[in-house]
Amino acid sequence: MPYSQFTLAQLQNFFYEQVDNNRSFWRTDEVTRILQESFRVFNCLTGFWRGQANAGLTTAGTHWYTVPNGITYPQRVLLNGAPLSVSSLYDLDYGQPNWESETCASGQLPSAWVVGGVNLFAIWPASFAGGESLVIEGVVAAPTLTTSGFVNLGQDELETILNYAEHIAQFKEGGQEFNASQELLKDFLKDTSSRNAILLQSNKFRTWMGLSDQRKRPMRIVDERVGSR
Amino acid sequence: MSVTDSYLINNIIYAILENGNADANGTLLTDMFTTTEIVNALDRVQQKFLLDTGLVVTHTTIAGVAGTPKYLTPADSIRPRRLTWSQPA
Repeated sequence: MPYSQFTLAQLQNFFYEQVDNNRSFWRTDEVTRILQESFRVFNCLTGFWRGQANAGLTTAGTHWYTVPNGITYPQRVLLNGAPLSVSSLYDLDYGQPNWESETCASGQLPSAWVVGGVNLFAIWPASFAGGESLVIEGVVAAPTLTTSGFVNLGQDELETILNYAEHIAQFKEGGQEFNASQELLKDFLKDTSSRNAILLQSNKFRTWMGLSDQRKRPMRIVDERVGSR
Repeated sequence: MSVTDSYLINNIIYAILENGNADANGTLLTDMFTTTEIVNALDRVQQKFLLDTGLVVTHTTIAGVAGTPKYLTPADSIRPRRLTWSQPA
């Protein structure tokens, strides 16, 4: 679907349309917070908003660097404008056990990077002389909703975010209304998993979505009887 | 992304219906919960989140001492996640 620009007032109106225009039970300020939370959760699950930030220059012999402000979690590292290969701590620890002691030879450049956490990454081998530029690309924070400006969203993303917003809003109402909104949560999770296949590999996520087939294949036969084989 | 303490507290105030007939502004309608209790709950959940996920990590080098088998972890360490041995340069 084509992308459109939405103001905060428009987003609030879309939300109120989903809750029978009940502007007394959900105040405007509260709706802004609910929408903001929905934007952030959606961004965490899908990495929808992306950007890049300058991480400064490499330092001779240094493997570990701090992820610059503005990047929620890194996805790609550019060294002197060229992308480094992505590896993992596990691969380096077990495939190159002394990697944290290894430095480039003169004239060589680091070749790989690994994620340490959302705030830390490492390059391998360490720079020989330092001074190469480091640029991080990754997921950035969801836009902050204010009364001025726009948010760019497609119709699909808008519906997904509004589903989650309605679900967390119904927590306030409780009872059957909240129970009924569980379907909206499932729709939201299903839509996010279509954008992020890693979610489907998560055991916790599969349990929430009812995708686990553990009940269909019990580890133990529960109705054992004498003589049964 | 920066979220202030007051932003979170006001979100909690909405969730527990303590805003009354006004926008949440840090004031609690009843004395069922105190602001201190809300802040303590946020602190506890934040610590548990960090402990469970290990999202925010720090990297510290401890100099080895000949013949010393045990070392202290940094004072602010919640849980060590990885220990490696680095050859001296």
